[in-house]
Amino acid sequence: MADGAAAVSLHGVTKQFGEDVTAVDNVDLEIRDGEFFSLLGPSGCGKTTTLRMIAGLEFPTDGSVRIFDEEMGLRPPNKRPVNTVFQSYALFPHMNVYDNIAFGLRMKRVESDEVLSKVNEAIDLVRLEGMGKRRPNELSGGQQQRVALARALVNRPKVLLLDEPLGALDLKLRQAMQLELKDIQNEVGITFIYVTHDQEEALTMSDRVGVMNEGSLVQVGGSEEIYESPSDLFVAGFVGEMSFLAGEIAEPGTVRLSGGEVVRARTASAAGTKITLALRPEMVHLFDDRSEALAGRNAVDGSIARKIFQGDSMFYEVDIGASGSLDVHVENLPSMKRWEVGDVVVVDFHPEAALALPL
Amino acid sequence: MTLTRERQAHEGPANPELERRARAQESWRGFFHALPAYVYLILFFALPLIIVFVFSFASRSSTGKPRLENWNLDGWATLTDPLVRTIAIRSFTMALLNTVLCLLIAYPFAYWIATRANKRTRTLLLIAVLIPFWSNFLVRTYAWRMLLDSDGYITQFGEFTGLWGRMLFTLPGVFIGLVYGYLPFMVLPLYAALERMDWSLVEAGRDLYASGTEAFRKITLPLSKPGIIAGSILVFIPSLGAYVTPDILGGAKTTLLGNLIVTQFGDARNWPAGSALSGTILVVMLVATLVYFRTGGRTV
Amino acid sequence: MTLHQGAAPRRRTDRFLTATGWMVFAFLYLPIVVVIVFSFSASSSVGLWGGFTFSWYNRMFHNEQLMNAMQN
Repeated sequence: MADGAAAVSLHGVTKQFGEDVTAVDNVDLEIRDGEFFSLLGPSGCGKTTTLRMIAGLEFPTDGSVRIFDEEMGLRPPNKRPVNTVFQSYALFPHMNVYDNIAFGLRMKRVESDEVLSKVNEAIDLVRLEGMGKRRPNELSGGQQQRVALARALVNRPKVLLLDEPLGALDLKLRQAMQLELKDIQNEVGITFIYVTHDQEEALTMSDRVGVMNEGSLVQVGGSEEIYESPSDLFVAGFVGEMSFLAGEIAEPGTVRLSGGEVVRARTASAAGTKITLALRPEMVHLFDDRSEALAGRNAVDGSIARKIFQGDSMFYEVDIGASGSLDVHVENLPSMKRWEVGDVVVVDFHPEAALALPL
Repeated sequence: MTLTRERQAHEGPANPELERRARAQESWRGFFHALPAYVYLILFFALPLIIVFVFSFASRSSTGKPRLENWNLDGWATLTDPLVRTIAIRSFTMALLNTVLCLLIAYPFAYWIATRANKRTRTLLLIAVLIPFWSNFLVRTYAWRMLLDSDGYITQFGEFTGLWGRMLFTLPGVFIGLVYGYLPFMVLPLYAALERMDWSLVEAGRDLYASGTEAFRKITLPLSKPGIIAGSILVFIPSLGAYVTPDILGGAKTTLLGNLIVTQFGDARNWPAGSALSGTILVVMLVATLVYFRTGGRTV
Repeated sequence: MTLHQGAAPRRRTDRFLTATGWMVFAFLYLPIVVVIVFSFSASSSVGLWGGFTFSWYNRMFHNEQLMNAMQN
């Protein structure tokens, strides 16, 4: 587990392509040894470019990349103690599974009997026993992915870089592989840097997450912190579901919504600041009238505008008048009441669940 | 037609007879589409081959034209002549050397073009390679003859730097002309193979501790093999019959297969022998082409 | 697949490749250029430049046989 030493540190790392395209803008980041760290963000946010700069497949226009406190500079990828699992797997089509996995070891001039034992160990680790003689085009997507993983891990790099490795797999397989990857990381103890645009994936697998948008690193923190305390509107909207209401801060701890309602919320700015109130749908409860609402919480009147059955839960869109509408997520427990469109309801939420985020 | 088929996809063949007739109609249409190509191939390819084959069994006459009587194997007997064997080996060696030289020059060249980042640059460079070959072959070859002659610029440059003398009528001169003529046939397939390459494989190789050279040797080179094979066959096969360039630049001192066949049909007035020789070379070329389609024709 | 920076030839190799590229182009265009240039030279030998002239083109356009052949 993380022991505090920095496996990878980026200082002021910037990457520009030509004159106009800034793919990565002044990123400062420290990734701890033994950590499972995810870089999360939408397509084009610079997370893959950042990863490639750690790998040595791109060089920063500005800033420094250090791996275990060694400045990498213009060092080519073959001189760095990192290995990459590519999004397209990049398995060598003219070699079989064994030779693919053995490639890195052979490049390091490892003795052939040592190669044999290490490759077999790697094959067992990713559970591909017996597949050694097969060619990549004879394998399924999931199997190819595991070969790519074994090919990188067998070299026991100090840091493993993974570029959206599960993107091409179907949902069930992806979820299974997420668990497997986590297990492997625990077993092997190597630092994993994982790039993905799937926020659920990042939150479930990582020790810490770095959210990126348009080249900048917007927020870094543990999964819970990112989810419950997003630092700005972008992170709030990108991670999980959110309802947004416009308003301004009346006084610290209190927000006046655009429709006039006054609610208590988590604020961090001065009175008068225009903010957007962010609420997670599962933090909002519905009651028939105010008397049922819990004390110490906010209560707002509204009516059901839409309802969607989602299997284990109900999704309601509640119209609260001039202020807008709130999304509500209610689990379909036997005791829970189910409302219909048009029902008049009271929306209730704890002040701690409402985030007043500056525009 | 399409509507019927769509409905059938949902409900199963509503009318099996209709379906059978539709399929038959489709294959007839395919046949008629291919008919012009078949006719062309038969008239201009199969028929001449058959004629050549038939002539090889005919007998000589004083005028040279074969007499279609007294069928014999004399034409084929000439193949066993030791002189013919010498000439064949000479042509074979020349073709082989030409292929190797073309490969050595064309590979870095094709690699250079393929690694230019801008697509338009690559296209322009390719067109630039082809332009010289839109000019007349004889003009190009005689231009080389002039350049390599005693007062030619190449000779002057060579004498000035002390590197070489007159190359006209020498073996290196001949190969300059040959490589010049066949280079595009090697460049284009090599370029095609390299252009199609998945460069992320090279990145993966570098990531796995391979140096630039190692990544080239273990990844790029093997994956460009289909291009190498294709280019080699496209250069080697026509080179077997090449004789004009060696004549013009080599001074017509040596006989190659091409010369041999031409004289059989001309001065030697031995059409059957000429036919036998041509037939053999054609068969060799056909076999080599089949080999190409079996190995070089596809990617890994 | 696009050629990213990671797979592109390193600087020294790239210089070597570009050098061979231009040398091959020089080789390919040498005879063509020479023919064109010397079609304007007054001397009949290709080793020496004989002064600029259109005389060869003149003779060509007046040569009936050649003109017929070209039209054909």
